[in-house]
Amino acid sequence: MSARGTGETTTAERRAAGAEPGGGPLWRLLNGQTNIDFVGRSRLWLWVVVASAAVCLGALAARGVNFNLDFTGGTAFTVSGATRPFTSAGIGDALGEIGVRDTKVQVVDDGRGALVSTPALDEIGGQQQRAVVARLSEVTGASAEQIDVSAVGPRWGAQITRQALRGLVVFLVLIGVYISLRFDWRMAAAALVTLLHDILVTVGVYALVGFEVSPASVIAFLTILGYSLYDTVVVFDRVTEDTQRLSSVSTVTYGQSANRALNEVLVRSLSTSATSVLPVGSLLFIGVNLLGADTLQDLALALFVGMAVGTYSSIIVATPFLVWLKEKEPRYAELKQRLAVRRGGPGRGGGRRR
Amino acid sequence: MGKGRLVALLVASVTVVGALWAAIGALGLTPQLGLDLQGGVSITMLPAPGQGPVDQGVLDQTVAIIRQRVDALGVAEPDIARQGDTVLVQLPGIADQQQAEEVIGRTAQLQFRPVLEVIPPGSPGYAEAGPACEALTEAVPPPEQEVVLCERTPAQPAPGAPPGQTEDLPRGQWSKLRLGPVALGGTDVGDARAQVDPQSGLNWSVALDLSDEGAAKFAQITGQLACNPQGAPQRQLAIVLDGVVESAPQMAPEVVCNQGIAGGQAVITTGGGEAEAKELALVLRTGALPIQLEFAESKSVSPTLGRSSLQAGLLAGAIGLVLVAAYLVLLYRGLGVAAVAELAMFGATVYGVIILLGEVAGFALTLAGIAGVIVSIGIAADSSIIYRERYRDELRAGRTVRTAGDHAYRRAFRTNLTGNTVSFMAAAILYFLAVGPVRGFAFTLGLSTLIDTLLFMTFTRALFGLITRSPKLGRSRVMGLRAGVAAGTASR
Repeated sequence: MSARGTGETTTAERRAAGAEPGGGPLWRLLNGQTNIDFVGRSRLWLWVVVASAAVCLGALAARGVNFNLDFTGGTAFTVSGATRPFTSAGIGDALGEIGVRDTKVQVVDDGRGALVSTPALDEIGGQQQRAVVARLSEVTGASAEQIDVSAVGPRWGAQITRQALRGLVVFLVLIGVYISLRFDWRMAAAALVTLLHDILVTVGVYALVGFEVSPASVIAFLTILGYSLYDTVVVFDRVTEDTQRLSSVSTVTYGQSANRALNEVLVRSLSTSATSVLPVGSLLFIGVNLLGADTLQDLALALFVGMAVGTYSSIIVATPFLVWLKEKEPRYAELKQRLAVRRGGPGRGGGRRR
Repeated sequence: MGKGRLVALLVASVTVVGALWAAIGALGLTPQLGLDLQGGVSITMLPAPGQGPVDQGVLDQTVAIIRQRVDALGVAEPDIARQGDTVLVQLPGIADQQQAEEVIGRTAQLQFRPVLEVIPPGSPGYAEAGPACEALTEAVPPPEQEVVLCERTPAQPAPGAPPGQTEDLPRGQWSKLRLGPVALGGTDVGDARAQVDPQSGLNWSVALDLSDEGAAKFAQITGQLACNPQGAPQRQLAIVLDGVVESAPQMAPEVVCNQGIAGGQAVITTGGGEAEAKELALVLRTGALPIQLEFAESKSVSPTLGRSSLQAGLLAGAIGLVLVAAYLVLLYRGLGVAAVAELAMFGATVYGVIILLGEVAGFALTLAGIAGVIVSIGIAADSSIIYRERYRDELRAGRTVRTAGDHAYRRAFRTNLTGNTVSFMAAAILYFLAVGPVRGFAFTLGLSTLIDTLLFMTFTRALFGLITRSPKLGRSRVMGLRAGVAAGTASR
C-alpha cells in the first residue's frame, strides 16, 4: 500500500471500507480527506513569511518593545476603596508637589480605585515611597492599608531578561538535540526555524500594537515556544510515519507525501488550536474584566497571539521548509526527478513550483 | 491487552484518583495559596552592586539572619528562599509592607568609632571631605580605616508637633564627621531592646547590652576618649549604623580617663518613634547581614484582591473546561463524551495533586500556576483529539472498530509522548532557570504534562479500549464509533 497518500487511492480505499465517497468540504476536513496543496505553495508561503518578518522587524526597529515597569524599574500603587472623589490630574498634581513627576494615573472601578505608577523612586521602602502613599491616601481618602505598593528596582529587569535569554538558549539547544535524536537533524532545523519565526512574529505584534511586555508576557512567550514545538512535532511525527513508506519505486515524492500527512492532521491541528485557544480566551476575557489580574491578562494576551501564530506556522513554515531540506537528500531528489520524467514534465503537486 | 486487564486498569486508575480525593476530603485539605492569591508581602532582594562576587555561604548566612528577623516579626509561615544570588522573602497575610521592608532589608551594620574632627556644613573643606551627604549609600564603611561620614541631624521640632518624633534636616545640611577605626561593632552586642527615655518619658531609644568582650572594648574606648578635654570633639564616640552616624555623644564629665564606662551598657537615641526603635532593636538583636542587599522588587497584595484573583482564575479555568468539553462532544459525539470524562479525570488529578503537594511539599498555588493549569487543558484535550483522529484514520484504512482502537492507541501514545516530552522540557528549563512567578507557572505546566501522559497510558487507554470492545456501543450511532465511515452505508 505504498501508494496511499494520493487522492485517488484514498478514495478507493474508502470505497473498499464501505464509506460514502465525497461529501462537503467540512466532511472532507473532518475525515482527513482534504487535499490542500500546502507544500506546493511554498513560494507563496515564503513571501508571506518574508513579508510578515519584514513588517515585524520594521516595527521592532521603529517602535521597539514597550517594556513595563518590571523591566524599567518603578513603583506602582494600587489604590482601592477610595472614599473621596478625585481625578487622575489631581493625583498627578499632588504627587508633583512632593517632587514625584512623570506619573501615570488610571482611575478604575468607577472612581473607587486608581492605578498609579511612578518612575523608580529614591529607594524601595524609602521616605519618598511613604510620602507618595501618604499623599495618595490624602487625595483619595483610602487608608494607607488599602494602597498596595509594588516596587521594582532598575536592576531587576536586567536580571530577569538575562535569565529568560539564558533559558531560551538552553531550551533551543536541548530541543535541537532531542528532535535530532527522535527524528533527524533536518526536522530539528525546520522546527527551530519555525520557532524563530513564531518568536519574531509574536514580538513583532507586540511592537506593532504597542502592548506592554511584562514578566507574565515573557512567561507566555516561553510557553509559546513549547506550544509551537509541540504542534510542529505532532505534524512531523505524522510526516515521518507517512514518508517512511517511500522507496525508490514510490509513485509520490517526499513533498507530496508530506503534504498528504499535513492534510491528514489538519483537523487535529485546527481542533487543538480551538481547544487551546478556548481556555486562553476565557482567561483573557476574565483577566480584562478584573482589577489587579494583570498577570492573567498579560499571560493570556501573549498566549493568544502566540498560539495563533504557532498554529499556522507549523503548516506553512515548518513542513515546506522540511520538504525543501529533505528533497536535497539524494534518495528523495532522485525519486522526485524520476517521477517528474515519468509524468513527462515537471512533477505535480509538491514538486511543481520549486 | 485483554478486556479483563483493561477493566483492571480502569478500576485501578479511578481508585487511585478516588483515594487521593477521599484523603483530601477526609483531612479537609485545601490548596496552599501563594501570596498573590491570599494576600501578603513579597520582597525580592539582590546583593547591592560594588561588593565583588558574593560567596554562596555568605548568602546562606544572610538568608538565615533574615529568617530570624522575620520570625521575630511574628509572621505565620514565612517563606524565605535563595535562588542563585536572589533572595526571596514571602510573608503571607502581613499587612505592613513598610515594616517588613525596614526589618528585612536593613543591613544593620553597627560600628562604634571615635570622632576625630567635626566638619559642620558651610565650614571650609566641607564639600571636599568625604562623599556628599545627599548621595548616601548603605555601604559598610571599611572598619580598619579612618572615614568621613555624615551625622543624622534632626530639625527643630515644629511648634505643636507631637513629641517623641522629629523630622530630619535635609541631608545637605548634615554635619560630616571624621572618624577613627572601629572600636567595637555589632558582633559585640549581646542584646538590644527598645525603651522609653527614662527622663522625658517620651523619646524612644535602643538600649544595648554588650557581650563580655564588647563591654571590655567599650570600657577601653570610652576611657581613652575621656582623657580629652571637656567639649573637644575628640571626646565624642560616634555610633554608626549602615554608614550613617546616628549620634555621637560626648563622654560625660564623670567618665574617668583610662577607666571608661563599665557595665557594658550603651544607648542609641534614634529620634524616631516607638516603631522605629523597636525595629532597630530587632535588627541589632538578630545581627547584621554579612552583605548589603538591595531591593529588586517589593510587592504587596491585599487579601481582597488575592481572593478575587483566585476566583477569577478558577472561573476562567472552569469556563475553559466547559467550552472545550462542548467542542469535543460536538466533534466526536459519544466518543467526545468519553473525551470529556478523560478531561474531567485530568482536572481532578491535577487539582488533587496540587492540593497534596501543598500539604506534603509546601507547594503554593499562584495565579501564574493557575495559568499553567489552564494552558495544560489544551494539552490534555489535544491528547484526546490525537487519539480520536488516529482512530478514525485506522478505521478508514479498513480496520475493525476494535483493532483500529488498539492500533490508534500505540500510534497516538507515541505522538503524545513526543509532544509532551517537548512541553515537559520547556517547563523544566523554565523552572530551573527562572525566578518568581515563572517557576509556579512552569511547575504546574510540567506537572500537568506528566499527569497527561500517565493518564493517557492508564485511564484513557482503558476507557477507549473498553468502548471499542463493546459490540453494543460499536453499533450505536450516538457513540459515533463509525462516524464518517459507516454513515454512508447506514443511510443507503
